[in-house]
Amino acid sequence: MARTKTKQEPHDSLTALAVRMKKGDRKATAALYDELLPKAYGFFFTRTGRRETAEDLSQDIFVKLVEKVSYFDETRGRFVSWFWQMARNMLIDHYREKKEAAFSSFEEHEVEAMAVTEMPDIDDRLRYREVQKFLATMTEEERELFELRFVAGLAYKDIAHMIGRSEGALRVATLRIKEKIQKELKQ
Amino acid sequence: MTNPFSKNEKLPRRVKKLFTPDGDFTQKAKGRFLATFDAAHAGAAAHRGTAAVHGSRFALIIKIIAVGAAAFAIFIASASVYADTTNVPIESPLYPLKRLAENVQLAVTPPAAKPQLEATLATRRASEINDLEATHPTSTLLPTLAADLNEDVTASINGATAAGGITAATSSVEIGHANGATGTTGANGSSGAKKSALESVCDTLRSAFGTASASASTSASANGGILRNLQTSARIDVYTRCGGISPQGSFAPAAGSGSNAGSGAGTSTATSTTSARRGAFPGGRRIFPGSGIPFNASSTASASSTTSSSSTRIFPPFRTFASSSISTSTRMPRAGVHFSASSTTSEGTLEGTIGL
Repeated sequence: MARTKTKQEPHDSLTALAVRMKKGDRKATAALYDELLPKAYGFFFTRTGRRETAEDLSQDIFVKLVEKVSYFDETRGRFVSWFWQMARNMLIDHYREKKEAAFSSFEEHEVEAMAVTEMPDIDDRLRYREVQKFLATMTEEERELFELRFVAGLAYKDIAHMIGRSEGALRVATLRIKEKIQKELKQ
Repeated sequence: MTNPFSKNEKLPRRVKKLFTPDGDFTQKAKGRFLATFDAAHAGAAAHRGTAAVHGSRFALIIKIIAVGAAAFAIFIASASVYADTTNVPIESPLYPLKRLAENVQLAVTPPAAKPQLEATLATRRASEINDLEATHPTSTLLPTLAADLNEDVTASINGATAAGGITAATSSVEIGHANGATGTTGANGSSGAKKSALESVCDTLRSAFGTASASASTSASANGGILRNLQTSARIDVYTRCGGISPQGSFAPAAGSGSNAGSGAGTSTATSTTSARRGAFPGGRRIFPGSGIPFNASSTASASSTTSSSSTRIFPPFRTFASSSISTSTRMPRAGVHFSASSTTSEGTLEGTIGL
């Protein structure tokens, strides 16, 4: 069967860095880490609600990246989608292995306690409490969209590819989340 | 409060700060990550690096060799073409390339055109011999050149004869006829095309020998004898089979030159059981007019003449018997020629051997 040659689009910056990382470029690897670590951490933190867990998962995801980056095929998609799919799978595995409840399942007092113990800054603690309250009001779908869009900073196109929804539906859902954030965090 | 999502849909900084990892953790985790990366890629990199280095070195060597060979081939080809077209003299360093180009030309030339090319090359050799003798009369290259000349002449005439379907036995008849000689045979037996092939070669060779002014006969060098023989042999080939030139010309060696005495290689024997008539030869030509051999003078018998002379070389100073069956297809023996003849006439039998 003849192979169809797909027209390759120019790589985005993260995909370009990933390609260089595959080739063993240490600088590109470091740049990729700098770009993705804060987002990965934020993603894991919003899901787990624990700094330590988020840090562990953040480290694990990059170790896994080193192991799996050779399987990344830049001709089949953008790196950011591939990476976040891996992050999501890792989170699922984490919950399965540790039998740990998701952030949303924590009782409010538990979350507050965690936040208080892990955040020395009083303002941060207060702000975290606000955010926690806000996140608790979200559905599971909204939370995922919030994490991918606002924390991880993914494009609609990538999110649509990852969670299997149309970009239009995602934009509408994101608009609702924005309104919620404005309303909740404004207070 | 302004909408923080109005433009780029980013979280407010104060909220985003909550999701930002600690600075210490970031640095430590980065160190661990890069160490993992280094460890994972060290082996692969080393393997890739070694293979790449070997591959690249091998490829580089192959490329250098290929480029060098191509450049050398281009240089040789260019120099050969230049040497051939400018007809460099034998003293030139490019002379071997000229000969190389000639050999290549000979190799690629169709058989039908080869005799003419060989005749042209013979012209070159004759010219080179003249030039070299004028400048370096004692050069050891002269005999070699003369041998080449001889070979070219023989090959060109033989080639033209074979191409025209003319046998050696009849060639002299035809050439004699072509040259306007009133031959007794009157046979031509060959087409115009055959004639023109041979005549074309002969014209070239006549031109070469007609204009040649070799001075071998005046050379006192040790090469003189061999050179003269070789040159003379070539000349005689032309004379015998093409006609139109003097068989002696300026190449004629001095009679009785002792330098030609040699071994028996190429010994030929001509035995005539009767006296030979001059008129028995095509066109009534005498092969070597002007030279005085006693036993020929009184030959009056009209019987047949048999000559076994598979490699006969007859030199101008010696009058002898000759027939149309004289073959010139063999190389000139360097050591000389032995010529034996016995003639039986009404006055008796005369035998003689001449060593050259």
